[in-house]
Amino acid sequence: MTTIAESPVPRIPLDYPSVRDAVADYLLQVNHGVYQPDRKKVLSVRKTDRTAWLRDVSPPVRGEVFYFIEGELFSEKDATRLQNGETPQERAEKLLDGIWPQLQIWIAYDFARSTSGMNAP
Amino acid sequence: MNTVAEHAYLLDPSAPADDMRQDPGQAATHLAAFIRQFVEEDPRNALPEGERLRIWGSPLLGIAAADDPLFTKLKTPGVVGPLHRSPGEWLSGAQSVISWFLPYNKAVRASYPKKSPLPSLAWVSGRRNGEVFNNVLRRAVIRFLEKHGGQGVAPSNEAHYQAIGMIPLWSERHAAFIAGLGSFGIHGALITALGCAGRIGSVITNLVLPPTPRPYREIYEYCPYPDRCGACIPRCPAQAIGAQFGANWRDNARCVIQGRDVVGEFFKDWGYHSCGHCLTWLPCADRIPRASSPRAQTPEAKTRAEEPEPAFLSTV
Repeated sequence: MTTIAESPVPRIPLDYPSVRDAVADYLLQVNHGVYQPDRKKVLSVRKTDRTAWLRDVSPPVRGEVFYFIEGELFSEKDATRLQNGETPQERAEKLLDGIWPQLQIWIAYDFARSTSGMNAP
Repeated sequence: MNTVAEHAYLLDPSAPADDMRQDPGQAATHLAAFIRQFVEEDPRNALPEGERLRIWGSPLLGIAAADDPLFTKLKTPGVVGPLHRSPGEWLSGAQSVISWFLPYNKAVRASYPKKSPLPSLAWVSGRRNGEVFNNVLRRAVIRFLEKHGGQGVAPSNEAHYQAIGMIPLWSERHAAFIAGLGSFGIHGALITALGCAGRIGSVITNLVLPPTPRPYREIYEYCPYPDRCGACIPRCPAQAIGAQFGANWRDNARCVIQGRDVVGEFFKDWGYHSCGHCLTWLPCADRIPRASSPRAQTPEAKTRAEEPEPAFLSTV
């Protein structure tokens, strides 16, 4: 039987500051005046450096994956509503505390080269 | 139960949760409707290049009982292997395994060259970006189950999932076989009522759902070889399929090398790889072949097989 030579796989961590800032920007927008969740907003992550930003949903763009803020990233009712005195940055950090390990796994699989595991060569 | 009305992501957090424990039959119907609508509507079911073709057509869905004895049999060396984990080893209290087959959209399938040793851009893009969508679907199904009073685990997206020496801790194809979606071809892919050109996903749940009957008894029941066909053997550019490779009919390493190194090198600038010769331009590409066992001809399969065969089949 033939044997396979393994090749190294780049392991780029998800960029926390850009994810936090994107989520905070979303919170700023939907909490301006009356709280109004926006189900068209997505967190987009770029493959090359795993940085993220906020945009409206659209067909996929090469080299990125995206996740809906409402429902997909944060599924609890009113999760994105700011509490009294809470800043978007503070809320974003709290929200990310709850999903960060899971989000890293999602990203790893969505950018994985093979289906043999998220760290497979 | 609510109808699936919301756009995919779907589940409105403010909507009341339903309990899918009350009526397993209705729960399965509700789940199937959700999955079909999700595949239809989620914007990630599209190629990022060109005309943004849809990658996947309407899926097939099958359900297996988590305690089906075949899951234990998968641990047998030579079947999958001792590393393979049964549903209960992924999710405590597992009751059912939800498995789906996503068939390539006809336009993506037709883009595959008939003669070239290389795939089309649409195919390799669909393979990569379509698997991202498959991940999205796995997560959506889990969220759906949670919303309706259950739990779900997608083994292929778990942090500790891996394949060791090409033996996976969870085999999507074998789970699909147990869930009644189809039997294997000698090319290693599962032949379903919609053919073999597609991808498979699954989620294990603690909800009781009615198992899908398996309309076959044998591993290779839908594959006409060796009595007839064998079209995939000469079509494989890596010569990875054939009786010389023993009971499993193929050399997986040759297959991987072709997809990763040969195709991957050609599509390096695009960031894509993977071959699909054994899934395209074959009698089993989009249906159960007419020449397969009579027992394979379920009502759905018969209807499909009675449709006119595409002209290309006569020129393979």
